[in-house]
Amino acid sequence: MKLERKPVAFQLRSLLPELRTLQQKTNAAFQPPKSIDLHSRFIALNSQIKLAEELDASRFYAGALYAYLEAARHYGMLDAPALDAAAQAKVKNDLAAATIRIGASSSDDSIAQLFLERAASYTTHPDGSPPSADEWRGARVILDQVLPSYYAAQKPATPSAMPSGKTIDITLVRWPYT
Amino acid sequence: MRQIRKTSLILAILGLLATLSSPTVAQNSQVKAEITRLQKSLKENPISDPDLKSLASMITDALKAAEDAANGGQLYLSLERLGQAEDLLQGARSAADKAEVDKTGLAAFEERWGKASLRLAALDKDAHAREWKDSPLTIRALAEAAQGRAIPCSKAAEDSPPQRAQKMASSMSDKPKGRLTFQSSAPR
Repeated sequence: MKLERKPVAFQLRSLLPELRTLQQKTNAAFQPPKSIDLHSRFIALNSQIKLAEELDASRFYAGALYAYLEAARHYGMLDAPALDAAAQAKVKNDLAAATIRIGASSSDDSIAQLFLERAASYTTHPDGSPPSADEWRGARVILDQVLPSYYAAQKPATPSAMPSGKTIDITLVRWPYT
Repeated sequence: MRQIRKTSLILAILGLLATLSSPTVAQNSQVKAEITRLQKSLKENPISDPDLKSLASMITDALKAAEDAANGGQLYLSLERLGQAEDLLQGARSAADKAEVDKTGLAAFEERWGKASLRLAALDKDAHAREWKDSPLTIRALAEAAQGRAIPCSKAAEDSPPQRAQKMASSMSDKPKGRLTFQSSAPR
């Protein structure tokens, strides 16, 4: 098992724009009946966003990335549909392909690898028992939402398209006696 | 009080992660050894506190998940699960260790809180100065996430409802006593 760090490092940065967007999407999704039926999921989601923001503010960017991806996973689970047999087979194929891609990469994608390992643990149990419906959904969410969020986080931040709606006036005063 | 105990176990997790800054096959064995040690600890010294009994099955499950992941060569997943198990087990152990607090009440809490805060402040400084260039990013992420949870937990502990209640009680009684409760974990 080779677990040394890959030569190309992940370029860490602040994820504040992504976190603000995810918080806005979370707030918008918090409507009945989902807000009632999935209340514990919303609590977990909001706590991960808060943790990610605090880590980001402390410049713990790796921890912030991990918490952000965990929040993205919780958000994805809010609307993830149940998977039929064909969709489950596709999850297995896609998971295998993603694992090969990460393994072949020269970049340190160990955080993506952690989430893929999680997805694999959802879909293949050591005792041979079948995965639950939630586990299939969870694996799909990791492939469809967590991994794209991970790769997007590698790119430079894009400025928020939404205006803040707040303005400030700055008056510069030159004090004549200094 | 639950928060301050959580803080102390986060310190334990940080210590474990610090030793795993560059995982190898040998360190996978190190993870397995730690899993075995915790399983043995749980077996030899089961959690008997009635307030914490629900934790036992959660710890067993987390250790089983960590073991399965380690056996499957999924080191990062095994580390993540081991951290969760360590979190729960050390939290339960610390919460069960109420003798000192029962004896001296708020003063004992204040002393433990003060010591933990000092250690956390030092660790926070170290974490920012630590050189991670030889470590996989996941190791850094798990360590930073644990670090990031520690100080808010510590601050919350000082002014959490049980502590406020104890402070109020201390003005009326010599030996205030709090009751610990455990909240269920988040959905998977």
